Amino acid sequence: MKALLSIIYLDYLKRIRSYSFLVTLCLSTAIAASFIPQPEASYSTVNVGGYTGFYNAAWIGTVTALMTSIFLSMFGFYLINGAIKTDRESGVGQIIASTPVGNFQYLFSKVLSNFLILFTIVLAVFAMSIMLFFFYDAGYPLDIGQFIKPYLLITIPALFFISVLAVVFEVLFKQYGVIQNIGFFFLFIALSSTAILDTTIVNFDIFNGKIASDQIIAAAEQAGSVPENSGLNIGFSLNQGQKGKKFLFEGTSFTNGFIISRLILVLISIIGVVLITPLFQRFRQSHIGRKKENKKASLETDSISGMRLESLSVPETDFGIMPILKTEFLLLVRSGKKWLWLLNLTGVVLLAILPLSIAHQFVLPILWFLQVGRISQLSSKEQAHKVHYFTWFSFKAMYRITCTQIIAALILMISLAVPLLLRYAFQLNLAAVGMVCLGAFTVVTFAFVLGILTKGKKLFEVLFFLVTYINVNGMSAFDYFGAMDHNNVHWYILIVMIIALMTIGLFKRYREIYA
Amino acid sequence: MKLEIQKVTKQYSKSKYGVKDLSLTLENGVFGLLGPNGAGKSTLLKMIATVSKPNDGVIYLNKNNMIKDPNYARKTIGFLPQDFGVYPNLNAFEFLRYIAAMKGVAGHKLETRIAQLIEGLNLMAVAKQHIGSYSGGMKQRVGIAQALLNDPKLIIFDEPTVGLDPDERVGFRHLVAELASEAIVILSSHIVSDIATISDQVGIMKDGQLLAKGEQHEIVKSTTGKVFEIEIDKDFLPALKESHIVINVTHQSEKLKVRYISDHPLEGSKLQEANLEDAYLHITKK
Ligand SMILES: Nc1ncnc2c1ncn2[C@@H]1O[C@H](COP(=O)(O)OP(=O)(O)O)[C@@H](O)[C@H]1O
Ligand SMILES: [Mg+2]
Repeated sequence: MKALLSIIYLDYLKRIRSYSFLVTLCLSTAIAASFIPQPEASYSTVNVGGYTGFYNAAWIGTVTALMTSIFLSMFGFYLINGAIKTDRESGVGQIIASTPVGNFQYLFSKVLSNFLILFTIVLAVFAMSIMLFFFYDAGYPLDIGQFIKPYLLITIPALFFISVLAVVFEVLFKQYGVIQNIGFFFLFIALSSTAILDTTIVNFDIFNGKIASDQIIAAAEQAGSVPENSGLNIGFSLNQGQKGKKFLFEGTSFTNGFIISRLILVLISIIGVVLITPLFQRFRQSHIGRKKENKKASLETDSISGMRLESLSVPETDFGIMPILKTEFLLLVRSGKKWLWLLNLTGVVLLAILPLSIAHQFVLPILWFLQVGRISQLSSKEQAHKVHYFTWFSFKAMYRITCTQIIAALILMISLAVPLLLRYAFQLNLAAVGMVCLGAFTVVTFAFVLGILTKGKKLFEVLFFLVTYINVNGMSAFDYFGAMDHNNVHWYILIVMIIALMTIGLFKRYREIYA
Repeated sequence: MKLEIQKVTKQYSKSKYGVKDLSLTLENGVFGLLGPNGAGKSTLLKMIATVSKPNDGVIYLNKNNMIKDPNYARKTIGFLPQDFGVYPNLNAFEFLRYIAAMKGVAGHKLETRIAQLIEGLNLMAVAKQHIGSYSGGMKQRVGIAQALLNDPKLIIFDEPTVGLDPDERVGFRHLVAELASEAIVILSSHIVSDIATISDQVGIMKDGQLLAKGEQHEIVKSTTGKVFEIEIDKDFLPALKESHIVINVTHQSEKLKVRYISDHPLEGSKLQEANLEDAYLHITKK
């Protein structure tokens, strides 16, 4: 038991020291804060038919708890998954496999350290929400219970579920990181749409805390002139001249049935871990596979003497980039499972046959997101595989590596979009062609630069998921591929952002290679 | 080829030096760098390989400043890092082609050279498999192959024999001997026997400094007349270890036979011929 606790603790320590954790922490608090805008702000983020609640403890606590449960469920998964894989790759897994720690204990320790990571973020958001309460001081008493209850009953069980889900996915789809990433994307969409359909009897509502949102809506309706059937709006909306439309929300009364359903959710999650335990191979699989191949190979291994050096042919020199480009592209194509190309192919066909607007707005971002595993290591793979000693310190490495990596990824992204590009080209809609290309360049830039800045792939994966999700839901603020209407400013901002990111990324890489 | 290292210092933090004020001049031949773990061998070799920059000092290769302009040297360096990796989903051919491209090696002779290296390093049987499935020794040999792709004239091997079995070590020795006729070959190890058999010149490092440098017999000379052997009771061993450098202990029925280094031998000791291992321990344990 003590050993287990220290495994969890050390695992936790290791992971909160990562860069992606810090970024997620900041991002989460920033997002949560954005849901409680300044009282005088001309926009609102959470509202019912344009009405927002007075800034009492119940409103601030409930809204931040709700939003955290939604957003952190989404990108928290990407932050925490891969815990078992890390152990496998670092070899720690094999050490653990040789200890008396049982499979269930091991998996459960991963669940707990996953959960601790998310919980840490929740604590930060919680602390911030209390700070906001004092900061905006609207004259209501600090009812700490109204802060704690929604976090305890809505956010925490949801995040526990996510912590389990990450482990379950890893056990079920072991090496297939891509399936984990993409599978969760679809599962999340499915789960959040069941939340809309749910009834009070069967509570599938894992992330949304419908009980709270319903009561917020009810409170708003009581306050008066809310248009009928207005739900809880999440997302930026400008309240044009409607400043100060407020209602009093006095907190959610959580029914016993709801509390029990949350406990059941936690229980089901734990049972889920029990159920997948027999499927967990305890780091044996890859081990055996490797052993076998070694045997086969070592049968033919004699000695390396007999090497005749003078007979070695001396090749010419050529510092061009084509051969490097070839390998970079090969690496992109090879990563991930082969059958994923079937999915890609399906996407390409859909791009060609579906109505243009659907192809552009839905198929394209999803098809590109399917490449997340391929391009997320674009610029960090050298360090991840410790190949950078070879590549970074070769002749004019900076220029040659940078060019080839960016071009290879661009070729991949653009060739997937070819049907769409051709359709626009036939319409002579060159603006759309340009925007799709800009979209490809945006994705590649983010993959490339975030890889350099974080030396890993997590942050990019998290962001790419988030942005894709938002885009597929039709919110236009993060549209980077021109599927929705925008004014020019949107594109200027995007281009400035690309240039700024590239500059920072290239600067850091330059420092790494030449300093 | 002439490599001049002048007063090179690498500082990791305020009080932590990887290499401190180290100078060394090398010409064609094999230079073996010996030192305990943490001595600063890798730190020094990485600076020579232009992988990291010293905080102070200069390194010249044929009068070209390698620190100011690493590109001249990079064309002619072959470096096997101690702690390197591979792309697991490429096979040996593909990986070597990739590194060759990085090094700017090309042309139709490149394929021949890659094939020769793979053949010569006995990787032919596995060359079409992804490197992810290789054993440690095979991966090490891929590392050695990549270092030789560009016909290097400054060859740096950091702990090259790790993971090689005895047969492979013999092969490696032949290889190094041949390379050294027209290149500077620097190799590091913390195992004396690895270095003793291959090196023309030996350097002994500790705590970031070069404690000794020269031909093997010169280094051994400093210890000649100080190596002894004695038979003692088991109980005396701790006391002996306190006051002398014990090299090894063999059990002989009731007694222990102890080989040790001392300026003031115990009574009943027999003088022994010193070898490089004795000298190494003598110098580093002082
Ligand atoms: N990147 C680094 N940051 C801080 N200290 C380092 C770093 N690399 C090496 N060191 C320290 O410098 C010393 C020399 O290390 P190294 O050159 O790897 O020794 P060797 O190769 O002889 O075993 C060690 O004490 C090591 O801890
Ligand atoms: Mg070392």
